[in-house]
Parts: sequence; structure tokens; C-alpha cells
Amino acid sequence: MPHEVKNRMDKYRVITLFVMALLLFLALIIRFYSLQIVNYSMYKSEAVGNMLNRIDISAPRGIVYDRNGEKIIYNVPCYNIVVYPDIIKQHPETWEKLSEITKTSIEILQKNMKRNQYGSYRPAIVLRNINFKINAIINENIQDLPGAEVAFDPIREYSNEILSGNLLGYTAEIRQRDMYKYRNFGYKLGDNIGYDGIEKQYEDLLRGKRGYRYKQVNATGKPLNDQAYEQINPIPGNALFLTIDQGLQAHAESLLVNYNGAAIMMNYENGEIVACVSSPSYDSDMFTEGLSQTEWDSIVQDKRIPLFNRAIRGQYPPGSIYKMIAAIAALEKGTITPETEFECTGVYDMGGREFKCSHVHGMENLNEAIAHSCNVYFYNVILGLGIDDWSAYAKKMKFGELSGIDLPGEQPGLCPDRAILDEQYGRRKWWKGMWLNMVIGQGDVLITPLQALRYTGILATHGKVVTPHLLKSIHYTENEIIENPEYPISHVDGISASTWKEIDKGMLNAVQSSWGTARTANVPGLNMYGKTGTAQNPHGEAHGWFVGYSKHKNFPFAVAVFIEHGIAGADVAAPVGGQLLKIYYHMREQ
Amino acid sequence: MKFKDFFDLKLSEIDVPSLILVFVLTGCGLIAIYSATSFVGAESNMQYFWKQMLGILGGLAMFIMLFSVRKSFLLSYAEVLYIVGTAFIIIPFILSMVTSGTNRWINLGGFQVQPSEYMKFILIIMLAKVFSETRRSPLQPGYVLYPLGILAIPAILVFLQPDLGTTLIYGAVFTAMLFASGYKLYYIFLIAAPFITMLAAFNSWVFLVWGITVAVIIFLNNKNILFSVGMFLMNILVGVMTPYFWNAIKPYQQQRILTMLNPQLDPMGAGYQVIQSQIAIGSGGLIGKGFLQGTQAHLNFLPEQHTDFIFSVISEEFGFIGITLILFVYCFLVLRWYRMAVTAKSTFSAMLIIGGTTALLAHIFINVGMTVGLLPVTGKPLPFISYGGSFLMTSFGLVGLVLNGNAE
Repeated sequence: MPHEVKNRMDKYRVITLFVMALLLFLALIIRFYSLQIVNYSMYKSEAVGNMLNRIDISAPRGIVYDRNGEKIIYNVPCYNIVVYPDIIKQHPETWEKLSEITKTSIEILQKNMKRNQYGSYRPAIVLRNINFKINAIINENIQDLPGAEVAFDPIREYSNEILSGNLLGYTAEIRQRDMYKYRNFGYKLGDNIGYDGIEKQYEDLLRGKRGYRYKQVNATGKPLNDQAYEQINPIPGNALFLTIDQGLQAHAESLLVNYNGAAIMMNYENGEIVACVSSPSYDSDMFTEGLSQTEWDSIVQDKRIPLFNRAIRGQYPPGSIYKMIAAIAALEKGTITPETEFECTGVYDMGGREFKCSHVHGMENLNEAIAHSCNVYFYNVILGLGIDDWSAYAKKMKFGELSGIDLPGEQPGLCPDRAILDEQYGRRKWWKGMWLNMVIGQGDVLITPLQALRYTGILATHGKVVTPHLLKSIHYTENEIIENPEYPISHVDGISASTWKEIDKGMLNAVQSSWGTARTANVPGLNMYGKTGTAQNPHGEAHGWFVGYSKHKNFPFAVAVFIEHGIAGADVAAPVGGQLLKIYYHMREQ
Repeated sequence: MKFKDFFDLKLSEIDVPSLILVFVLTGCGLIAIYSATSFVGAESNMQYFWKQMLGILGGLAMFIMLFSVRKSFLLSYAEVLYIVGTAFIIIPFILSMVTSGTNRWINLGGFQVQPSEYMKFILIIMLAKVFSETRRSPLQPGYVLYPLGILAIPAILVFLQPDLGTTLIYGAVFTAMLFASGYKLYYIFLIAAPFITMLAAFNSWVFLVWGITVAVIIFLNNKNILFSVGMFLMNILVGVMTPYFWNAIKPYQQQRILTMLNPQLDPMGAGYQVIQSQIAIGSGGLIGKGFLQGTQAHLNFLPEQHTDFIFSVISEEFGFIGITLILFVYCFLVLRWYRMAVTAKSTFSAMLIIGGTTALLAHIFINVGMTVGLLPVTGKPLPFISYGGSFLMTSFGLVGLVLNGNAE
């Protein structure tokens, strides 16, 4: 056997190894020091975050009441079928049974599970809003359906008395592509959010604040025990009281049911809107129950555009209801007096072009011209007045600007002045003939029905400018009031009492005299004032307008009615306006 | 030949403090394993605890075998052991090509044997014999070629398995023993340089600085211009080729290395283990959460917590103080054993001690470095503490080899 040789190991080399080993251990100790002492608190909170799983408790959305405390928007229980992915994986037969009970294919159910799944231990919705019968069948057979159950989830329900989807809006799950906008405001995928109307406008008040409870979980997210950790309760959304009167709203809808158009009624003293109808509208409930593609297509492709709120978004030529502006401006500027007369021969010739009137009115003064709605009279007025003074007074009547109503999507219309026309047609490329069109509310002038109503309010109050609004008060619950919002009120200055008197006289005669154009709107006893309008437009029959108000002592309400292709304002719009005021007067009397 | 010719149970020469401290560590291991295998919401399970006890008995047997085996026997049969050991690494390699299965283990009637584990002893014995021979002078550059060949065959086979951790341990053992043999430092530098070049090649600035350093050292140490230029060019070539090698290794190994550098790159995938381990360690703080109180461990956030990541469990439950104590014990043992190399009776014994100690040190550093995120996740367990009978036998065997070298 080979013998061992004497140890000739170099001592210093061993010492070097010794020192290197020491350095390695030192490196480890330093690293532990850094992890456990320096960064302790960071890792500590990460470990706690690992251990506890936060489970959301969604906040009930706020309930919306009308001005009389009738519920318009509320929450009802909705029953969904949910499955636990970890359990159902072991019991594939549950899929077959569910498919049989719900008459839905397994593929669709499984696709829904994948879409709604957040981890294997959290329930995922596979079918929403099942009916009572399916709910009962599942509950009876729950032992044979391991991994599945029926879960309750509140959904939005909208009053069946009215069909004002474009006023109330709807709620729906946040679209994935919109998430980036909402993430910073505490929304999560799968949350509902208000789209359109009141639901969108007051989203922040209605949504409430979600609560949380905590559950101890293991690494796979499986809940371990029911140990109680602190729970943060959700804060329900605020209850909102609207200025709308549900009964009147329903009447207004029924009056407009055969037309495309809008009708709005407002208290001209404070701006409270009691009815706001755009026809046709849609049923908000369709959205909460989950809209199929064909249903959605039928709404979007409907030529009558039910999603479009004509009352605040529709911009139309105003026709003769705009004439009072020229009258006020001319009286104030002194280019006419109440006694000034112009002769109407049924047509007015300017530069070889004929500008027509509805009738041959003969000699007319201001009062008659308003009541008869004589065009030729106002052609003469505008030529004497000039466009700059005229457009200045149109702006005083708040045309061309937003009213500030608490609804999303309001449009400003178009109030043409010299600058706008220069821009539109080029400097000096337009001619005085356009004035003649604009003064009778044709040509480039565009207004919304809401602007027409606000203008009517200004006429009714001799210059008081209110902010039209829909929110009356904010409540914790039905009875605990938080806030009555204040809305700005201003005043149109520089219009003399005598001018207002002349306008009043014209509008009074238009309704209450036997020869007025708006006499179909008259409601005896309500002391009605008003004006019709008939707006030619390139799309077909003329649009019909009626604006009017009651000067009855306890009934300060103004109405604006717009009927698309309603021929003449006097034919359809004026009777609707009169009816609405009459109905609401009687409703309040009771 | 009689049994006495092979073995000599020289019990009186056992270094008792070493053995006591090793048992202290296995005791810590048992406590940690008990904790690591108790889960919230699950039945208490002593199965791992008892299996580990069995592993310790196996380890003791291995210790006694390698402690009492005669050095003269080892010197005589080193080559035979080496050839047999290498063959056992190759066999599963060939088998796996047929069955397309994993190629690290051999199944011997229900017992899983990992030949690369036993190759550690054989490699140490073989290298100890080579480095203690006086036929060649360590001052000659060619001195390294034969031992390098001895290392290369099993190292390359194990690297191809692929088992990066074991390859590193073989390399560490070889380097320490080569260094201890008195081989000229400049030559060690020449051998190590290409490996450092590979690492440097990933950054062009680092590569430039390293290239200049290599050039300076080579030209200062060698009069032979042709040799110097050749060496320098070889390093450059290695550096240029490295990207190709990088693309040639398994994507999971690339991923491991990249995720080591930045665990946040892949928090749910490869980085998950390291992140959860660091959370466990960091959240332990100074004094720890207490026995069985670690949330990371008991809620199963830690992967492989009773084997590779056992140290994270200890860190979480016993804190910086507990960890420092354990590292102190390890450090004390390693230093005590290295010191034995100076007093050993023969170069062969000293080499056994250097090899065995370095193997244990490398295991400790690779494992702990992994749990704290300093080194890649190579899946190497911690000596004496991690769960697993096979590795306990390796660890105890290495101690046996070291203490055998220390004995008369």
C-alpha cells in the first residue's frame, strides 16, 4: 500500500482560505442585517398583505326620488348563478346539470366563468339575473350541484311609470377599455358605473363607498378560517330628490308618444325642472338586465335615435319664437316704438329675392306682429336695427351658451353675430338677406329646447335668469337631508319696463286673443302667455315650436315644446304646451 | 484481506466539539422541519420529522463509514472509486436518453440514489491523492492539467444533467484544493480568468476594464511573449463567444440567473420563490415571529420550505438573533476544520480536510445565498438542517471525511 507523505501544506494558504470563509459568512450576516433590521417594516407589511385577503363589500347605490318622494330609481335583488372554480373542477358533472337547468350551453357557462374569475377560490358569475323558477330549481337540487350556488347581488331598477332613459341614464359594468379613466377614482373591473343622464351626472353622490372585510388566506388564496378581522362597512350612496314630478313626466311622455321631439317644464322663479321629456326614449332597465347584441343594435340603429336627449342636446332652428329678441332690441334702441307700423303684403323683396310671410297681414304694429307672427314686420325691424344690436340682445337672452343644467352632454346651440358669420362665410362674403332669415329664427340660428325654455323664463320674469336644474336635495336616507344645493340666479339688465310690457302684450294676444297664432295653447284661468314657431329645415317638414308660461299667481311655470317635423307650431306643439300647464296646474291643486 | 485492513473505528480520535455542534444544527433542523411542515388548517403531520430522524441515523452510518475508512485504503483505491463513480453518473445519463426522463437519479430497489452526491466524496479523495503526490511540482504550470482532467469529466457530466449547483460545488472544492496545494497563484489566475471573462462579457465597459487587467497581469508575469499573447487572445475569444454560449444554455437557467439579478422581473414566476423568501426573512425582524408563528411558512407562501428554503422559515420565526447564532455555529465549524488542515499528519489528510470543508462551506453559502437573494435559485439544500435523507448522508459523510483527515 502506498504510504502517506508528511504534511507539507502551506500554512498561509490555509489561512487565506480561513479568511475567505470568514468573509463569506460576514457577507451573509450583512445581508440578513439588511433584510431583517434595515428593511424590516417593509417586509413586515408585505407579509401581512400576503396573509390577509381583502374582500370587497359593495356599497348600495343611492336611491333617486322625484320631488314628491316617489322612488324613480332604486335597487332590487338580482339572483346570479356562481361557481367556485376549485370545486367545480373536481365535479364536471355540475356543468351538465347547470346547462340542463338553465337551457344554456356548457361552453357559454364556462366562457362566463373564465371572464368573471378572480382566482380559484372566489365565486365567479356564470349566469346573471336568473328567474324565480331557475332559482328555485337550483336551490332544491343544491346538494347535487357541488361547486355551484345562487348568489344575490343588487341591481338597478327604474320606475315603470316613466320611460325616460335619456333623462335618468343607466348603470352598466365599466367597459374594459374605459378602465384607465376610472382606476384612479377607486373603481375596479366589474364595478358598475352610471352612464348617461342623472346616473352619470351624480355618479359621485350615488356610488357610495365600498367596504372591506379581511380573510386569512394561504398562498393559493384559499380562505382558511372565519376568524374575524376588522371590517370596514360600506357607505351607501346618497339619496337624491329630483325636481321632476313623476306624474307630470309620465303625462308629458304620453303627449309626445307619437312624435319625435322634446317637452320641458320649469318653475321660472327658481329653475326647478318638473318635467323633461325627449321622445322617443328608452327603458333604462334594459341595460341593467344585460343587453343582448341585437337589442343594443336595435337601439343604436333606430332612426329615431332614442339614446339622444333632444331636450338638451338637440340644436334646431327656433323659428318665430326668436322674434321677441328683435322686438326687445329695437324698442330699447329706439328704432321702433310700439306704434310703429309696417305693411305686410305677404312677401318682401330684397335684392331680387323674395322673403315670404305666412299671410298678407296688411298694416301691423308690434303687438299684432307678435300675435300674428308676421315675418315682414320683423324684416323691417332688423334692417333698421342692424345685426350687432340684435345679436347682443340674443346673447342677453342666454342663447349660444350652456344653461348649466345638471345633465351630461348639453349643447350650446349657435347664436350668430358678425364675428361668427365672418368666420363661417368669410369677411363681407355674407349679405343682409341673411339677417332677414335670422331675425325670424331661421338661417344660422340654432337653439336647444332647454334654451328656449330658459328664454321663456326670462320673458316671464322680465329678466330673471335662473339655472335650470334637476337636483332638489341630497339626503343620507329618505328623511335625513344633507344639502339643498343653491343654483345661481342672475338678472338681465338694461331692458325697460315699457319694453317688457309690449312683449307681454304680444305674447298674451298670441295665446289669449281669438286671432293669436298660439291660441290652441290657451288654458282659461291660467293667464297664459306664449309664442309659436315654425322652423323650415332642409330635412323635411318644418319643426314646430311652442314656448309659453302662466302668470297665475301660484303657478310660475314655463314650458317649451319642440316637435320634429311638426309642421306648424300651432298644430301640435302649442296644444301639448297648453295641456302640460293645465295638467300640472290641476295636479298641484289636488 | 480482513475488515480491519479497510476500516479502523478510532473513536477516541473523533473531534467531539465538531460532532456536538453538528448535532446542534440537526436539532435546529428538526425544529425547523416540524414548523415548516405544519400548515394552518391542516392536521399536524409528524411524518417529515420522523423521516428526518431516520435520515440522521443514515447520516451517522455514513459518518462512521467515512470516518473509519483507512486512508491507505483510500489512497490505493482512489482511481477505482473514481472510475466506478463516473460510470454511475453516466449510466442514468444514457438511461434518460432512452426513457426521456430525468437523469439525476438511479433507482436501487426503491431507494433513490443520486450518483453526483457520492461523486463529491470520490472527487475529494481522488483530488486529495493527486494533490498530495510529489511527482510533479506545483511550481510548474502543467501541474494542474491532470487534476483538471479529473474534475472536468464529472463536472461536465453534472453540468449537462443539468445541475448547476453541484457543478459549482465541484468547482469550489477543486479551486480550494488547488490553491492549498501551493500551485502558483498566477497559474490559478490564468485558469480562472476565462470564467471571469465570461461574466465580464455581458457588459462592454466591464469587459474593457477586465481585458486591460488581464493584459497587465499576464505581461507582468511572463517573459514569453508568444505565450502571453496567446493567453490574452484566448480570453478575448472566450469573451466574444460568451453570448453564443449564453444562448446555448437552457432558458430556465438563463431565467434563474436573470431573476437572481432582479427578482421583480417575474414576481409570479421565477422570482416568486426569492421574493417570498425575502419577505419571510425580512418580516422576521430582530427576534422573529416565534416558533410556529411564521405566517409566510404556515400559510404556504414559501416554496420548498422544508428543503431548500428551510433557512427562510428559521429566519422568519427566530429572527436575526436566531440566524446569527446558526451562522456562527456554521462559521465556527468551517474555521475549526480549515485549521485542522495545518495540523494534519499528512498532505493527503490535509487535502481531505480542505476538500470536505470547502464542500460544506460551498453548500452553506449556495443555499443561504439563494434564500437571501444573493445567488441564483440552484435548489441546493442546507447541510444538517434541510429535510432529506440523501443529503444528510452527504453532509455527515463530508464531516466524516474531514474528521478522518484530522485523526491520526
